Amino acid sequence: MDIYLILKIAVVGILVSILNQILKQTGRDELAFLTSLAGLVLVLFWLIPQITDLFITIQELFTMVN
Amino acid sequence: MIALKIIGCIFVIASSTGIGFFFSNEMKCRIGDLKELRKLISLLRGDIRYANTPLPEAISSIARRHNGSFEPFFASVSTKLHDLSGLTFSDIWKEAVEKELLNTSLAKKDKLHLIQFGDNLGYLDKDMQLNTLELFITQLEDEIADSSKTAKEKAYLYNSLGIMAGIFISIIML
Repeated sequence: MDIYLILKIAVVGILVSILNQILKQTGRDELAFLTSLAGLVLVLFWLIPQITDLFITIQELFTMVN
Repeated sequence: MIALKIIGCIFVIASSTGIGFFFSNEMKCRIGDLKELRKLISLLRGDIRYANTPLPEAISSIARRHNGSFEPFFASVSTKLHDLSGLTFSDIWKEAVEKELLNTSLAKKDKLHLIQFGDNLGYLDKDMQLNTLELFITQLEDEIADSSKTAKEKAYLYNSLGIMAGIFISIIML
């Protein structure tokens, strides 16, 4: 779990929010919605391996304890 | 290694910013070209209304006097009209629109309107020609007014979208 992942997610979040503001200001609401959706999917794509690792670690922990 | 990545990111951001600026510039040039076209069609109308010039001569006099991006278009139409090769005016006009207007920033729908205008020009008598010209000039003015209203916002949007897309792509690839 490196620090770069957190930084990348933070930058994507900031960019998506700025883009959202600009697009809403110019009236393109559906494009704003699509960009936030795209940002969400991208971040989930980065996070799911980490969550899988977490579950496997917890499973192993309980197997070891038992 | 890190320096190479940073140089790559700078290239990506610079190129996508350039694309954004190019599109916003294209939009401004399109408005300029529409105004130029309106001016030329007004000259054509003036020639036909007050000097009773026939259409081929009016077009060649505009081609001679004008020195901008529409010059090849009008020059080609007037040359083909004087060749008397048997093609109809609307065919000559359509071919010239498709070949000579590649250097201008006109959108596809502008060229389509121009082709439709060419279909109606040269039909019946002088009054009909003047009516067609008036209608086209009104259409152009409406288009210019519509585009100018949203031009500033769109320019800002294209510029910022260009920069953001560059940063987005470079963050994904880092």
